[in-house]
Amino acid sequence: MIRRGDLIRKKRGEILPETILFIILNLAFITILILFVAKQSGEGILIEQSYAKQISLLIDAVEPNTEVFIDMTDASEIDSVWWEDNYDSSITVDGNIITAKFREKGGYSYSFFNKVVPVFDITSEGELRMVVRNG
Amino acid sequence: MDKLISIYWFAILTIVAVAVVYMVAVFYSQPYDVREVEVNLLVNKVADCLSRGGELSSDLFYEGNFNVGYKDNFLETCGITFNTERDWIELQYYFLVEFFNIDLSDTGFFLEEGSLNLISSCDIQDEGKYERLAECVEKRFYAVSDGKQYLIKILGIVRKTEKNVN
Amino acid sequence: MSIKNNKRGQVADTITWIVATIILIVVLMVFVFIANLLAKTKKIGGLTDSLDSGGEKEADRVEVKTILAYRLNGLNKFTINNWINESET
Repeated sequence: MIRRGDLIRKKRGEILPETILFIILNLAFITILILFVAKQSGEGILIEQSYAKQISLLIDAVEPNTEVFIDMTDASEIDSVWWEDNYDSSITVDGNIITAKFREKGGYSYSFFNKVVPVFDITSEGELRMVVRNG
Repeated sequence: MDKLISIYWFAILTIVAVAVVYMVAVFYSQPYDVREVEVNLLVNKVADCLSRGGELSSDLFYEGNFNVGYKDNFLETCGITFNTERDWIELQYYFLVEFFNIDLSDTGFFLEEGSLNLISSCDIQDEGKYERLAECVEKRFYAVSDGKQYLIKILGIVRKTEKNVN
Repeated sequence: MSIKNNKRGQVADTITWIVATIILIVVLMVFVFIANLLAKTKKIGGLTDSLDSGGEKEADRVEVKTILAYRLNGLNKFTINNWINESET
């Protein structure tokens, strides 16, 4: 004998797991996409490129004996473990080539044409002080 | 029917995923192109070296005429270096300074440094087809020296295409 | 009669799916186009190295040299200005 309640319960049993699975898979897909985009936007190479070029252009623009302060907090957050041990060498200069490196396997270089000697002082908090001296 | 919808849904998700990955790749793979700023700074630097306070540098002249020897160490004198971070075969910079009399006649004296091959990049740019080759800027100004009036034209070019364009 | 009605409903469903797919692809193409445009905004231009000369127009660093030179010798301003402005055309 089939009772009304049996039919209702049977129908609930069929629909719910499929719907939940469908929603979960879609959410997983959206989450993976969002994480992918977020990872790309915080990619170290972009920030390294940005700072290397910014600092090079600043060196080209300023007169000797100019002091410049740059806030590089976002750079310090790329790889905080690496930053703790290597922040003082995150911005280096070799002749007239600036290299910005904020992670283990990273680094971006850009040259400046001004014949000066920039001197860098970086704190662990990500504050850069640059003094441009005569070459 | 359900299977058909599942296959269709999978196809849609794939299309969306491919589109998102492509958009991200297109946007984040494009480097920052700072050459316009850089070439302006180069031209400004050269101009500063030649003229201060409206007067041309006295080093430009020798016994009332333009000092041809000034060309020899111009980069050194002005504190400019064309070394770059990559082993490019050619220099990535160029500038040309021309001096004119007030009657617009050419004095015949000019200063030129860098790779001459970059000049053609500026002509092509005018056609609007190859904007990525190099960034060119021309600036003109007026200066005096010993009561004489001079018109100075500076053309500056920065290439560095590999570092600024995808 | 009821079978005919059912068939109409199935055709309408199919068209709905096709239209939805087309709309989805068009929207994605618009986003891809916008992403391409945004990528071009990575060209950094407009050097803001300028000095306020007190006039309406801000003078750039090289223009200031001309302004200062006029104070030393202000003759032939018309010729000089025309020649300088030639490069802007």
